[in-house]
This record gives sequence, structure tokens and C-alpha cells, in this order.
Amino acid sequence: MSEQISEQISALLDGELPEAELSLLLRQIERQPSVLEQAYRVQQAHICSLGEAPLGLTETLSFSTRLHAAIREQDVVQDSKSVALASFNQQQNKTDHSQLALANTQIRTGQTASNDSRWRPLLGAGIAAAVALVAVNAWQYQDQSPGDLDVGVLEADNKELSNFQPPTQNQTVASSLSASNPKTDNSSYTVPNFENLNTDLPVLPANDFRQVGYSDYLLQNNVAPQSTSKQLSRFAQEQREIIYQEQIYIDPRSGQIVLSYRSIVE
Amino acid sequence: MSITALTKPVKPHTDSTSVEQVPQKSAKVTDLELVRRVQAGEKAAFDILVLKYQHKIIKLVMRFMSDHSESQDVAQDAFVKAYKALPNFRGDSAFYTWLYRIAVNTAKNYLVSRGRRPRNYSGVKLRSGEDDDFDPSMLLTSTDTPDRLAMTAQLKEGIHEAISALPEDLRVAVSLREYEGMSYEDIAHIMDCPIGTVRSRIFRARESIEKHIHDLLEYSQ
Repeated sequence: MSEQISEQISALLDGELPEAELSLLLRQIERQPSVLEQAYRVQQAHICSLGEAPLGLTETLSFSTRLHAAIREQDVVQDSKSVALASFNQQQNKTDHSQLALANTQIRTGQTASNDSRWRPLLGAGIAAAVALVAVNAWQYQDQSPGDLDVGVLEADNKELSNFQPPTQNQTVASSLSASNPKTDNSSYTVPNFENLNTDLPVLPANDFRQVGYSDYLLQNNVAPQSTSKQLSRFAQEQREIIYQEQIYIDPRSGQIVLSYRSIVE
Repeated sequence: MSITALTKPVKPHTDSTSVEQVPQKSAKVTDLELVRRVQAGEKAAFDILVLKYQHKIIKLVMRFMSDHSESQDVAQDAFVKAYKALPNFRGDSAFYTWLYRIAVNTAKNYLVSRGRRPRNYSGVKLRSGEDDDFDPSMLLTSTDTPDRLAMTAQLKEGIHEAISALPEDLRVAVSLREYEGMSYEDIAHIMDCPIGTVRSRIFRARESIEKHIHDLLEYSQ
């Protein structure tokens, strides 16, 4: 099977593969990416035959692997972005808080994670949906806020709160928090004036994506490529897209642990 | 190796590949079709495009910078940028031309961001079809270092040996393809065999060549 696929790829590189065979070939590559290794070998022979000196196979495959990982990371970011934007548009008129709670629960327990790397984009999408919903919550409750930032507030579960130790600088406690439904539990929501929060609060540097929150946390725990944070940072800085930064702090007025998101890109 | 020697009559060959499964005449997969597939969400199509152009792009970027790992990073960046921009690719130009420009711009931007200036123009000859308004003053280096030239000569020797050692049917098929640039269909006519057989022979010949030169490639880096 692998040899047949390589033969097809060899023909494809020559521009001689019939279109009728392409769909099946792509499905097979998707299922079994390792078949590309043999294709790279064949490609090397082709390059040599043209009188050029190709890179060594090890180097070629290494480049290909790194590029593949970078592109898959890109998928995560793009999927997250599109899902977040779609969710935002959809939720402007309707906010499904139960979805938010479910998404956060799934994120917390890692239910959406899969060992198969090809599901990571969906994981990212789920995370982004949750992030977007939180952002929408913040937007909807903004008029209650004395401040002027897009800040969504989630209160920690009482049970978890009782065991909670106040976070210190650079400490992430996102995985210990969960969402509650603001429509049914108004008392659990506060909208602090973010601008007035300082001194003892673990306010994170604006572009420090190492602490971006759920998505980064989960990706790292699913053995995502190490450059995830770098990619996200570059993505934000270069593309100027909307990415929410997660911040965890204690509201000095209520004493509650607050999980907030705000757009970090101007 | 002369074409006369390659094209002497050969017996029709039956390969293990089922030639009936291969359509004799149909539209062939182009880069644009692969791009359309990527745009439709078939990510594996981009893997094919990377496989096809990775070598060219790395070589291109290596003309700008002498550091090998640096050039690989920049080449990777170029591919990632292309991937991100692919949804907006309309097919007004050839995919490789488009990718080429992205790679050149990425390399230029990289050098500018590092505050580097070109040291000299080493007279690298660009191939036709590559960037016509390419700015040679941005070139830092040629990939044709003495070491690489020596390696290329070694490889040519290795390739010659590998092709000479092939069975005649494979040798003819791959030589007509690689050296004469013939289509599979033309080769099938010349060799009096189905296109599927040609395809299989070319593939097997390449496999055999790769095995022959594998060590040479790995240890010469």
C-alpha cells in the first residue's frame, strides 16, 4: 500500500497523476502521514537526476517534520480564531451559558483532548469557543462595570475556592477554576474595575503568552510542540488579531478569585 | 548517455501494478488543483506542495544567507506564511511563482530585521520562470560553494552509476523522463507499453537510484 502511494506521489510530482486518483491519495496520506517519507526519498532521486545536490534525507525529513508541526499549530490558531469569531457573532443575540459551563468543564477535565494529534485543532476550537463565550459574557455585562475594559468574570466553584491558595506572580491556576451560570447565580459575578487593580494582583505582562491560559495550558499538557507560545505570540504581534489574555487575580473589593479575559491586541 | 542507446526496442513489460486501474487519458493533477484542495480543507494537499517545493525554496533562501540553519528557519517561515495566505490565493499566477515571492520577501525582511546588508553579488544565475524583478543586490551568497560543487560532481557520478546499473526497462523510462523531459504518454508510446507501466518503472527506478546515492547524500552534508 505504502509503495503504491509513493508511486502515485512520484507521478504527481511529475504532473502525471490523473485527477481521479487525487482524493484517495490525499485521504491515504491523511491517515498515514509516514508514507510521505518514502515519497521524499523518491523526490531526492529526482532532484539528483536533474543534476542538483539535494539536502540529506535526514535533514529534509527534519525540516518537513518541523514545518508540519508549525502548520498544525497554525491550524489550531486559525480554527480557534474562526470559531471564536463565529461564536461571538452568534452569541451577540443569544448566550448559551450552559455551553460555556460545559466547555469549561471539558477543558478542565481534559475531555476534549485526544492522543491523536489531528484532533488538536478541534481541541483548540473548543477552547476558543469557551474563551469567546467568556468574552461575550464580559461584553454583555459590561454596562454593570465601573471600568471600561472587556472583562469577563468567572467565580471559582465554592468547593475549589475553599482549597484555593492565592496565586503568586507567574503562577497559573486556570485549571482549578470553572465557570458558573451568571443568569442563575448573579451573586457569583462581579465586574471589577480592572484599571484600579494593581499592587498585589498577579497582572500578567500584556504579551506574555506563556500564561495565555487554558489553550496554552492544555496544549502543553497534550505534548504540543514547544513553540506554541512563540507561535501565538508571533501570530498576535504580526497579524494583529484578537486574542484574549487570561488573567487570574483576587478582586480586592469582594475577595473573590477572578478569571478574566481581555483583548491584548490594540 | 545517448538517447539512441536508451530507446532501443524493449519487450513490453508487465508490472505488478494493475495498469487497468490507471486511466489512460484524463486530466492531470496540477498545483492549482492541490491549492484548491487545501482551500477546501484537505490539508494533505499542502504536504504534497511542501514535498514538491521544499528543496527549491530552501535552495532559494540559502542564496540570501550563509547560515544553513538560519535559511531553514526562514524557509519554514515562508511556507507557514504561504499556508496562512493560501485561502486568498486566486490562481492568477502559478503557485510556485507566488510561493517564490513569499520566500524572497521573507528572506529580505529577515535580513532587514537583522540589520544586514548584502556583502556582494555573487552572480547567481536565476532560472527562467523565477522572479524577473528579483533584486540581485539582496543576494548574500551562492549555494555553489566549492564543497557543494564537489559534492554535485560526486552525485552526478553516483547517479550515472545508479542508472547504468538499472534493468533496461527502468533505465530507459527514467532517462526519458529525467533527461528528455518526456511525458508519461510519450514514453509509453516509445516503449510500447501502458502509461501505468511507465509510471511504475519510473518510480522503481527512482527508488533504486535513491538507495544507491543514499549514503552519499547523508555523509556529504
